[in-house]
Amino acid sequence: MRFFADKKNSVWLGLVLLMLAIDMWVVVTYTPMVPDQHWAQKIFYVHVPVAWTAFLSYFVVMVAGILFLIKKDYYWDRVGLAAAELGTMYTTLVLITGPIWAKPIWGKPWIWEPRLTTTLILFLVYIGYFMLREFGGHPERVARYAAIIGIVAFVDVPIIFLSVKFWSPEIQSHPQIEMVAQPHRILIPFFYSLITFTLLYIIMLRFRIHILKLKHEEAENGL
Amino acid sequence: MVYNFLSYFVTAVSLVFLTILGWFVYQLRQEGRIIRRRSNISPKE
Amino acid sequence: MFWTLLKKEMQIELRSKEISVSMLAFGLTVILTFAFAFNVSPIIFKTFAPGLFWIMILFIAVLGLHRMYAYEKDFDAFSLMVSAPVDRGLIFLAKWVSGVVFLFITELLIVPPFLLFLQLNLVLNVYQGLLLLLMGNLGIMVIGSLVSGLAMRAKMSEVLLPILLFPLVSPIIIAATKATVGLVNRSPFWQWQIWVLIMGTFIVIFAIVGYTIFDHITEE
Repeated sequence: MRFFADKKNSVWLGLVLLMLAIDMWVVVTYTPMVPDQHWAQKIFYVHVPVAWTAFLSYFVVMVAGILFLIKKDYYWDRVGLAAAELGTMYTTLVLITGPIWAKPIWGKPWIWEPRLTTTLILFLVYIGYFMLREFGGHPERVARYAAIIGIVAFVDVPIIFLSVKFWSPEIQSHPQIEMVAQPHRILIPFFYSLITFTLLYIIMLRFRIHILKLKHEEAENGL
Repeated sequence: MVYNFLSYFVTAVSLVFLTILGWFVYQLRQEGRIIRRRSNISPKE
Repeated sequence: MFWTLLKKEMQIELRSKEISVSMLAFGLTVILTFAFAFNVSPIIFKTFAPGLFWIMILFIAVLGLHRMYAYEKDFDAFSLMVSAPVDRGLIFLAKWVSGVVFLFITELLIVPPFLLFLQLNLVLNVYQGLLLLLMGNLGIMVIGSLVSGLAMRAKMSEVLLPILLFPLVSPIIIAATKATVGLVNRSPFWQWQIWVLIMGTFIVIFAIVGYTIFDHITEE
């Protein structure tokens, strides 16, 4: 059964695509130009939702990991794997769009800023995660170990963030900090973008879980 | 200056959307392959 | 039960001295490399000595962890121990504490040559220094015992262990280095107590996570 043969899913995807088109239209035409930053600032309508999605995805990995360890149901292992893959893809995008945005605004592409640093560290942990998935040996054990790494990695996030924050206290120039003071012409498109990317993420996650299930069935039936 | 900034914006945004598009294409092809394999094998069974 | 497990670790090590000797020897070679690689005046060197010290400790810890779990694997002692009716969380705690003890002993032996060969002329508060070493060890080993339990039976365990360990332990490395800078500069404790607190938080959280989750590592 193809995933998009289910009408619900294709309607969902169509809606998300429409929302994304509107999103980009609004970002390009409606949102105000911030002085000195112009177009470069508008990257943030994409960069921040992508970063949010990445962290959401790693959160899903942790929840799926806990549920897998409790219930021993391989459905949760597939959810964890799908979310880990998507999280890492989004994290890669964060690590690329971050420097693209930082270059014109901060003058240099990389700053050891807490959010960016935490993202990088998580990315490195997840390289280990996929290596373990690949070389861990017995599939049942690998599923358990992957769940554990997913949990440990996410528990580490607040501590990493905190320590990096104190480590380089002079760097506080991330713009979201002053979000509350922004005019609604910035805030409303921003939150709209956040919602759109989250909906896109959900359909992507479900699609990937569906494919992993197909693969799993194929492996089981020896097809 | 403004056009320079515009190129940053276009690069970042198109990168994100091309990656996501590429992801969908890859998944759809994977799904197609699995389903084709299934329908090829099942009649013989 | 915990003490029995801990005694077992200690006895094995006392008999073979495999872990501490390899950690110590490796530490000395690292010091030698540092001395050759950073051929600068001791005053300049003092500014990055804290960072180098913790890099060395991290490398030593990886080596020690590898030995600690390698002999379990060699004799398949792990599956035997796991099949015994023991709370698996206690196995984790025993591994952790013994790892901290081995690392601590090695450090006590390695700090004098580190200061001597790198020509660091420091007057340190000994109690604060010991506290810092202990906190750093507890932090590195709490994640270390957990991760080496995972990596142990994988195909590329010697690669997987540092790849998983280094990023996860980064808060400890940041905090330990910062605190050591405070110690070396003889700043009053309150100026760097935040780093000790961060290490403490890390240790408590992962001790609890490790204790509860180790069950699933050893499960067969």
